Parts: sequence; structure tokens; C-alpha cells
Amino acid sequence: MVDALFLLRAMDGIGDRELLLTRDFLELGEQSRRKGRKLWRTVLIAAILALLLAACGYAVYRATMSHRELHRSDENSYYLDIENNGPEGGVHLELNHGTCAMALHFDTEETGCLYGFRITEDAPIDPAWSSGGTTLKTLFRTYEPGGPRPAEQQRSLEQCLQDAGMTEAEAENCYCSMTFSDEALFERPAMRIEVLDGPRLHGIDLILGWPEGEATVVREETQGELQILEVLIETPRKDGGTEKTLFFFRFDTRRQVLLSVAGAGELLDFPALEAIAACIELYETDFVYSLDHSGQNFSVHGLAYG
Amino acid sequence: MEDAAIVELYWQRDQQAIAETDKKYGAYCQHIAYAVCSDRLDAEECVNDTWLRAWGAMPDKRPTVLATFLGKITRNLAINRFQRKTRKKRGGGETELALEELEDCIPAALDVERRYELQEFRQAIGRFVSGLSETEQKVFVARYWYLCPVEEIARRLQISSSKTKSMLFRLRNRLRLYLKEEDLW
Repeated sequence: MVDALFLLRAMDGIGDRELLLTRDFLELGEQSRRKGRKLWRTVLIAAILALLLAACGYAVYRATMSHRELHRSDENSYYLDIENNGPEGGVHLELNHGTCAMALHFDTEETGCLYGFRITEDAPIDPAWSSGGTTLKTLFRTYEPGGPRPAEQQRSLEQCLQDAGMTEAEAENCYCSMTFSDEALFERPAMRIEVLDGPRLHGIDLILGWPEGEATVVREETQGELQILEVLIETPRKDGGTEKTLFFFRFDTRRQVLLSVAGAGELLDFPALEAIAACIELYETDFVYSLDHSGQNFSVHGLAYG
Repeated sequence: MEDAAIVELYWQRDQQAIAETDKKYGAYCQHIAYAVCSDRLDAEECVNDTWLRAWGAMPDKRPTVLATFLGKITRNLAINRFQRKTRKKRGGGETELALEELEDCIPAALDVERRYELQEFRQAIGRFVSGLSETEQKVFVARYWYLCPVEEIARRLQISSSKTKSMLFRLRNRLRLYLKEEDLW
């Protein structure tokens, strides 16, 4: 403790240039007024953006969704059933509360695309997952809106993004990037995650192995419409804590994909399920979502655009 | 008011110097002190003490960069206060966490005599940081000088916390190697 304090004091040797650089980076010092103005501007833009997106979302909701229910089928399982009148087909989610395994099924018309993840049988997985049954070890997401998104809605959203000062590249990234976090995975030597085939997407086997040590970028490639931008794996910290697994995806079209929610550990509970449900709902209604249930070893972050 | 004018007020022994300093750098020093102490009252006292120290130091000193001159005083005062408090009771928010992380970077047995080497450590760390890329400098200095939370650094860099932690991990390793090269390990 004292030794580290010594080193902390020794940080005073850092030069003025670096201190000022970092002060500006952290927006400390003399910038409070500017920061205040910037904050107000951000809040205003965010409010407008939220309002417009809410309006878009509600319109889509009213147009396509007719039924949405969350069931508890037995003591350990939850079941989300969404039916709609639109061309998409149904969305179906199952979660086995007891085993922390879950499944998302999105049934589509024949023309539908199918994107998803499946934790394969041959992967060495935790017994808790195995006991959940095969279907519960499958995570799916399919999406095929059955036609181009309404031009008006498209324009509204693009206007929002423009108002928010987002570039097209940033917006593209926001639509489809997300963080997938499953802290329990770190305790396992390897796990295989497979992106399933769809009519317009060739399958990708993404084999994740994490050697001892620090983060590893496993792969970066493009397959069909899917580009995996980065896969970052980090091993457990020596102090017993865990790091996160991050996946970033980009899709060439803007109509895909929520993806992959993962439950982990014994702590997954009803709030986590609510997060998943909210995630689906927001996605379906074109909302921007940002959810974090890291307290339950579960988190979903990102912006989705249906 | 420009820094040079404020310094001039100190040299003229004009008490307006303290008011002007507080107006311009009060929030900055308060932030630094609070990051170390995690206590508003302690932080305020550190800032007030900083003005007194500055008053005592000028003249003879004429700092070229007033912000860092004051920031360093504040930080040292805050560390002193933190050390006193933690002797009684552990618990200091980000400071505790940062200290734990830094423990990997120092020799196992650092005896009293090596405290005289503080200046050498300072110089070595200064050289080490100046040799980093700009992004690395921001991350390292934000964490270990300003004691900024990892999540905040990540948010500002628009990268994940994990990635930020990974960068810090690598930087600490590099610092350790650098200190070894400098025979300070």
C-alpha cells in the first residue's frame, strides 16, 4: 500500500505538457462554461432524438404488433411470446431460469433471413447449461421485414442522426454494433459460437479460444452481409474478477440484427429476462436501446435499428 | 485573467491573487483533490491549503504553467491527507483501486532509504510518459495522475472499459519493464 503510494507520488514527474493534454481530454480546468453549453446542446438533441424515435417506434408498433405476452411456464422457465400482424412472423423467447440457459426463436416467412448464434453441442460447456436442453442452448435472431422500410420513417431517423451530428459511418456502426457480455464464459477453456446460415448469409464458425494472458483479437472478416469487426477476449483477472467479452458486428444492410443475449452464472434472474424482452421490444420498434444488467452478470448495450 | 497576471499579483503580495486563482482554478484543483480524498470537505481543505502554499511559494517561484503548479500542490496535499486517513481507516474510492493496481509496478521491498530515490522515480516516470503515444498518455495520466475512473476514460475515448483496462494493464507492464531498465526496480 505504502509502496504504491510512493509510486503515486512519483507520478508528479509527469510533464506539464502531458498533464495539460489530459486535463483537456478530461475537460477539467477552464472549460466549465463551454462544457455547460455542450451539455445543454446534447440534452436538447437527445430529447428531440428520443421524441422522434419514440414516435417512429410507436407507429411501427401500432402497425405491426398485435400481441405480446410474457409467460412463466413453470417454476424455472419464462416464455415470451410475441405475435404480430406484419410480415415478420413471430418472436419467441424461452429462458430456463434454473439453468440460466435461454433461447430466442424468431420464426419468419419462407423468405426470411436467419441470423443467430448457437452454442454448439461439442463445446465444453458448463453442466448448468447442458441441463437446459438442446433448444435452450440456441440463440436465434431472424429478421426480415418483408420489404423496404417506409421511406418516411427512414427519412425521420436519418434526420435525427443528422441533427445529432452523427456521420453516416457512425450511424451505421450504431445500428448494428452491440456488446455481448457473458462473464461466466471466461471460466471455460473454449467455446464455439456459430453464426447460423440464412438465405443470404453463409455460416461462420467463430471459434473462440482464449489463451492465458490478455485480450486476443480472434478474427476480423466479412461473410455475406456480416462483417465481424472485432472479437476481444480477455481472461479472468488474477484477483478473481472477470473481464468482458466483446463482439462487434456490422451488417451491410440496416435491417438486421439484434443479437445475442447471454445469460451467465447463477445470478441471472427475472430482471435479466426483462432486459431481454425490452431489448426485443425496442428493437422491434426501432428504438435506440441501452440496457445494462451487469449486476446480474448480464448486459446488453447498443443501438438497434430495425 | 491570464496566468501571468495572476502570478504577478502573487509577487505583488496582492490578496486578490487568491481570489483570482480560486475563480480560475478552484474547480480544477477541487476535482484533483476529490479524486484522491473522495471527500468533499477534505477536498475543499486541500484546495484552501493549496492557495496558502502558492502564496508562500510566490515569490520566489514564478511557475511557467500555473495550472500544473497548483495541481501538483493540490495532489500532494490530498495524498498526504489520504495517507493520514487511511492509516486510521481503509477506504478511498478510486485512490484505493489505483494503488492496488500500481502495486504490481514496484519492487517487493522498498525500504526507507529508497524513499530518497523518489526524485529518480519521478524523472523516470516523466520520461516514460513522454515516450508514450498521445492516447496512451491520456489513458495513463488520466488514471494515475488524475485518478479518473476507468469507465470515464473509456467513455471519453469511446472505447470499452475492457479495452481501457487492457491498455492500462499493458502500460503498467511497460512501466515495470522501464523501471527495471532504469535500475529502479
